[in-house]
Order: sequence, then structure tokens, then C-alpha cells
Amino acid sequence: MPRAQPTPNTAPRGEAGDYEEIDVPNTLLEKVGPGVGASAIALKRAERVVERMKEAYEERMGLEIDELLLSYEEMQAAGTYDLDLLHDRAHEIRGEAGTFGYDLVSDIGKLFCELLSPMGEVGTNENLAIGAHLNAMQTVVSQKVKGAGPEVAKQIVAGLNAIVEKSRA
Amino acid sequence: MAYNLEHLQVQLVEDNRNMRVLVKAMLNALGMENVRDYSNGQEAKEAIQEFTPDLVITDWMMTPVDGLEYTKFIRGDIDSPDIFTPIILMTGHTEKWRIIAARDAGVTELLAKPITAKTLYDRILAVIEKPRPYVRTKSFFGPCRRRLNWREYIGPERRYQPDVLAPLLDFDAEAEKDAQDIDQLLASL
Repeated sequence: MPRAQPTPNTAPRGEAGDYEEIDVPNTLLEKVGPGVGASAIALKRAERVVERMKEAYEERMGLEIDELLLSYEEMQAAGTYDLDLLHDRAHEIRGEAGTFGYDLVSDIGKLFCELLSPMGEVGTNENLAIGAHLNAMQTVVSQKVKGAGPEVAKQIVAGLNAIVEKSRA
Repeated sequence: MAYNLEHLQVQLVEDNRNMRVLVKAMLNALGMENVRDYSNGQEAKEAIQEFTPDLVITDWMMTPVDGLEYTKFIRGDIDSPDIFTPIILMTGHTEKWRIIAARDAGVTELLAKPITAKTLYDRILAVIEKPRPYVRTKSFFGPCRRRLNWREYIGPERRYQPDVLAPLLDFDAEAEKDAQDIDQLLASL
């Protein structure tokens, strides 16, 4: 499922007039009232929670990327590739990294997922592309590059993007 | 005084333990004290009778029951305690076809990963402040899929005109025609 593509729609066709609009009472609004609107304090509190969890995450992220790289190296040695596994792990890393401010890791993770999604056989070129993405992620984490990173990081992403685009062609 | 979220019963469904801990902590910090978490849709289904949620926040990719299957359960199963329960779907997959699939399953709001406290809070506020009417057709039940000015929609009326309707009532065809709507949804993620 992680690398699934669209499937044909098999939903039954409707018929003219086969339509009903239902206005539902907003019970949620009743339950959270009588106050109105967002709380800046609550938002700040939630942002602090993320900040507090960041340190533990940074350590874990490094380990997760190391594990991803090790899994890939094992696959290379065995000559059989579980692309769903690589995709799943990269997808999880991507999601968490962005939440904790590692946008570059998140971007590379996204490109890596896009590279893997349509991939079937893994040959020399595919191996090079996979390796480039994993090494880029590991480098970014070891250098603790937060946010979008410096200019060189943008060049790396542009390079990886070009690899993904080429793999699609 | 802002909304008081402390009495809302929230089901959080996410298979990644770290994300579950993180999102639950964020929800607690936002004032939601009644949050129960589950590692997949099956667990949430089994628990829904004893803890009827006011709001469901679910991930998409999970086994054995994923977020879309769980959404369809809430929207249409005989065991669903409330078919109108607002559902926020968290997803790292923002390809157009996936967004359409989520919308057509009856999801209320989409929350793109990476999640931040702000995007999470924004979606919760959207569910509270901008509810849409529910629509039932033979092949769909859920919040109105026309997010864009649904009350003032001035496009062709595809729902009632038989001659226009026939080719368009197919799910995907109708979704494709709502391209502007989808694009706006994508831009908001």
C-alpha cells in the first residue's frame, strides 16, 4: 500500500436526483463555547511541547537514518530489495523531521519517496540514486543542518530533484 | 476568552508511536484533555462504543485498518455511533489522486505532514468554525466536497440535471471537474 498507485473507481454510478444535503447542528461549537476563537497561549504551549521533544528526536533521527542505510546495504549485499520497507521508513523520517525543523531532511525524504514510488527493478542507476539520497540525509543529520540549510544544501536538493525527474522520464 | 477544548473527546489514530506521542502531547497542550490514542483503525473501531469521539484525528497508512477505511466505517457502518463525526486525516501523501481519494472517503479536513502545532490547531479550528453540510448520493456520504464557496456555488448544477449528470456522476469524473476546489485544498495543506 505505501507505494500504491490509483486504482480504477468501481463506485456505483448515481442517478439524477440521487442527492440529499443534510445540515448538521454544530455540536462541536456548542461543546467548546461560550468562548470564541483561537488561544495564542494554547498554541504557544503546544509549540513548546515540540521544542522540548526536539532534543530526544535529534538523537533518534540519526539512529533511524543509520538503520535505514544499514537495511539498504544489507539489501544490496543480498541482491534483493524491499522497496516498500525503504519507502515506509523514509516516509516516517520525512514526516517527523519536518515537524522538528529539519526541513532539509524532510525535503530529501520526500524526494526519496518520489524516487522509490514508481521503482520496479533495482539496477546500477537505481542503486546510485538510492545511495545519493541516503548519503545526503545522513550528511545533513550529522552536520545538524536545520531549516532549508545553506546554499550548498539547496544545490544537493536540486541535484536529487534532477535524479528523481530523470528516473520518471 | 477562547474556545475551551477540554471536554472534547478525541480519538487519535496513528501507527507510528513517536508521532502518536508527539501529536497527543500537542493536543493536550492545546487544551484537549480527553484524548485516547490507538495504533490503527481496527483498535479505534473496537473502542469507539465505549469512547464516542467528538473528533477523530487519524493517520492514513496503517494496518490492518487504515485511515480511509476507518473514515468509511464512521461514515457508513451500522456500528458507527455518529456518522457526522468530524475527521481530520493526517497524511504525508499529498499527491492529487490521494487527496481526491481522501475527500471522497468522507474526510472533513486534511492535515499534511510534517505537522506543526499551528497547522494542527488550524485544522481543529476549521472543524469547529467552518462545518460544511453533509451530502448523500448513491456513491458518497460525507461533508460537502465543494469546499470553495459551497453556499454560493455558481458553477453548472451537476447534481440535478439528468443530461449533464449522466457522464459526471461517476465519482472520479465529478472529482476531476472540481479541479479548482481540489487545487485550493492542495494549496491549503
